[in-house]
Order: sequence, then C-alpha cells, then structure tokens
Amino acid sequence: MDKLTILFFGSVLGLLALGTLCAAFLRRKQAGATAQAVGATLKARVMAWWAMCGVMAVAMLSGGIGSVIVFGLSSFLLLREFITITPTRKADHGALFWAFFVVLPLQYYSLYTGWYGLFIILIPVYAFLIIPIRMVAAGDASRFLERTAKIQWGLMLCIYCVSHAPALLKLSLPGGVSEGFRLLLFLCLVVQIHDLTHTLLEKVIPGHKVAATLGARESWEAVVLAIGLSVGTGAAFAWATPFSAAQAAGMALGVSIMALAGRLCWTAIQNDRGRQGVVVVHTRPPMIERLIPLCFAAPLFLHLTRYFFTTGSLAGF
Amino acid sequence: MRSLDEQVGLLFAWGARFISGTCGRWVDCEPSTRQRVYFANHSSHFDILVLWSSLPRDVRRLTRPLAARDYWESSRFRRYLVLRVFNAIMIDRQGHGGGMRAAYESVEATLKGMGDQYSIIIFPEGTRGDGEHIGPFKGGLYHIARDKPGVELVPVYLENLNRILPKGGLVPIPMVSSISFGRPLVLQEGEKKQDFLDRARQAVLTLQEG
Repeated sequence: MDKLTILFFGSVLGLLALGTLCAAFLRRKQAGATAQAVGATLKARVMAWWAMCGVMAVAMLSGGIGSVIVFGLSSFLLLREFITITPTRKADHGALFWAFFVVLPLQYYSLYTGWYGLFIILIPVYAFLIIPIRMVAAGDASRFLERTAKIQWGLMLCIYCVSHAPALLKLSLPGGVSEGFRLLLFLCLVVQIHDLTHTLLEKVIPGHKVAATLGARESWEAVVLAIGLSVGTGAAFAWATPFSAAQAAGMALGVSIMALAGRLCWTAIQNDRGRQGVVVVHTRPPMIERLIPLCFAAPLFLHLTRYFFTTGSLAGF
Repeated sequence: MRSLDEQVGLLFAWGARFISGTCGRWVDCEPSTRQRVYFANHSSHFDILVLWSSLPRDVRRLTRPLAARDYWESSRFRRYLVLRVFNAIMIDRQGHGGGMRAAYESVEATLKGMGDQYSIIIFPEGTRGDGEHIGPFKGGLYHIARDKPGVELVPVYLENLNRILPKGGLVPIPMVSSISFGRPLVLQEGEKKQDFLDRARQAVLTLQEG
C-alpha cells in the first residue's frame, strides 16, 4: 500500500474508534432511554464496520483475487437471502441453479479477468434471456412474468450491482489499484455515513415523512442532514481520491441520493412481502437491509469515475 | 487424528450450512448427548443432512438417522454417505410390499441400532410431504417410545427445505432455512397409540406456527 492509502485507511479506522467510544459513552448506565437506543444502534453498526474494514484490508493486501472472493461471497449470501424472502415455485429450481452456479461465478470471473464487455452485459442481457428460457423448459407457465421478474431483480441487485463496487479496483486510474482501493473505501464511507445518520436520526427526531404512504421512517429533516453530512465527509476526504473537493462533494451527493433511494426501495420490498415474508431470515437483521444502499450507489459511482477520471480507452474497465 | 469418514462428515455439514444458512433454534430444549429421538417433518432428501449438521458435533457423533433402504442404497455414493458418514440405521419402508411384518422389523432394527447410547432422527410421516402440510404420523414413533421409556422425544420443525431441494430436484439451491427444536415429549402412562401420535404431530405443528 502507498502512503496515501495507509493514511486514508488509518483515518477511517480513527473514525471507527471514535464511533466505538461514542457508542460506549451513549450506552453508559446513567444515560436516558433514547441515548441507550442510539448507542446500541451505533455499536451494532460500528462493529459491522470494523469487520468490513478487516475484510477490505485482507482483500486489498491479497490483490485482485481477494476482493473478487470477498464480494462474490457477499453476492452469494445476499442472493440466498433475497431468494428466501421471494416466493419461488418448484419449477423455478432449474432457473435458480443457473443464477447461483453459472451466472454468479461468471460475473465475478469476468470481473477478475477484467473482461468489461461481459461484465456489463452478462446479467442485463444474457441472464435476462436464460432465466425465462429455463423456466419455459420447466413447463410451468403460472405467474410467469412475475417469477422471471423476481429472479431477475435478485440477480441485478445482489450480483450485478454489488460487483460494481470491487470493479473500482479494475479501473485504469492514474494511481493504479491502490487508487481504486481508496475509491472503494470512499464509496463505502460515504454510503455508511449517510445510512448511519439516517438510522440514528430516526430515533431522535420524528420530523416530516418523505414517503408516508410507504410507511418509511425517513423524514425530510433526516434526509437533508444525512445528505449534508455525507457530502461534507466526501469533500473532507477529497485528498484521498482523484477528485477535487467540489468533485468529491458532487460524487458524494450522487452516491447519497442513490443510497437514500436504496433505503426507500427496501421499505417498499418489505411492504410488498409483508413483515412475515421478511422474518424468515431469523434472528439477525437481513444483510440486504445493510447493503442495499451500497447496491444502489455502486453502479453510478463506478460509471461516473470511469467516464471522467480513467486514463484508458472506454472499451475496457 | 480424525478418520476420513469424519472429515467427509464435517465437509458435508459445512456445505449444508453454506447452502441453507441453518443454525438450530433450540426453543424449549437444550442440546444434550443423552439418548433422544428427534422426530421431524419431512419434505426433502436434504432434511437428514441439514438436521444432522445442525446438531453440535459431540451430539452428532451419537446420533443416527433412520434412512430408507430403497433410496439410500441405490447408488454407491449414497450408500457411502449414509453408512459411513451418517452412520444411519437402514429401514425397509412400510408400504413397499412389507406390511405389518416390515413395520415390526423396522422397529426392531431401530431399537437394536439405538442400543443404550445412540439418539436417532426419524421422519414419522414416512414419506416426503409438499413442505406446507404435515401428514399423519406412522406408528413407529409410538413403538419406539413404548419400548424405550427413558428416551426423550424431541419434536423438530424444518422450514424451507423443500424449496432448497424439492422432490425431483438434483442440486440444492441456496436458501436460508430454519430448524427449530421443541420441548421434549414423554409417552404418558396408558396413553393410546393414536392419541400419542396426534400429540407428537401437534408438537411439530406448534413449532411450525411460531
């Protein structure tokens, strides 16, 4: 790792240490009920980040293959969860086999080898065609459109979108792989700051609801604060990226708007499936809930960076 | 040094958990190495593997599933798995030409296989259901309970497994499933066979609901 990366990674770890201290302070015995609740949420989030940072460090140090494995595994677990909460029929079995054991490995293989053409069209085009073909072969036409759409949604969200995050390491940036790694860290940082601010603010200020009909808890006050904070964070860490301060703020703005959209869509999915459908994933909060903001933000961030900041031809990564 | 069969067993347990993400939920029951009968709803060939994998390792070593001979002895791989890895007790299924005599022999074989230390895993429906409805229980559970009075009968509910590997499916599809262990039952003094079987089935249904 170069100096800049170590510095950036170190500052993120510093933020985490700060978060851990804050959580411990909020959860002390004398604190009120609200502070306790905020502290508990903060602690759960910060702990998850420590783990994530550890995983990312391992991914970075082990080179390209590490990040492919780590994110490939995340895609696998996410898709497993998504299929669990989505009703599928017996005839979908063959199509799901393709999704898990052909499409998923192929997507990450194309990422590993840097085959941008396949990476970008495999799921939106070929998986999109293969899934209904396999279902037709299984010979069950009931709710055909609905079933193909659900599996396609799972593939796009859990494999395609997720794989755009590690794809940052493949971009031909002036600073090479370590610059890609800093961009990945930047993306995760902005998304997490945004998501955390929302989650904590929901507990503190009720505010005016953004999407009351969805039953979403997001308020306009929280939206403004969360976006403001993540744009600020983005600008403050511009030194670690190829962006100027204004560009970094703009990137953070785009990323946090997408992250917000991801949160709202998750609420919509929960409404659609009903709480009942979602609790199948027992005991822990669903992984999708944590990662959906990243899923929504990663493609936009990758494409903006690739279009404006890479040096190579646009035929490759 | 662990034996090769045990290593293969660990590999399968790990694989089953990777596919199904299952960890046992012990609702009104603690894991224990005492002699037990785990009886569960049956909807997939994957059931045995997942239930067996979700037991703690020292319990697993002392637990033998009951396996239908006609299915598990039909290929070398299955036979290896079921005999060497799961250490299963082989049963000739009722309704496969045997009638009362085969039923009696199954119970005998089970009791012999249990000895005085092994727990067993049985699927009292006798055949795989559709994953939603739990069929009526066959009599074997009652006979085992009657002949082994000290043994705890633990109801187990397996959820989602027929989506992982439905009837006719060849490859398991990853899906999060759950497995719940309920409060152990005991055969009451003078309890009639049908009453007991209904009560046992009800215990699994209760786990299904909540």
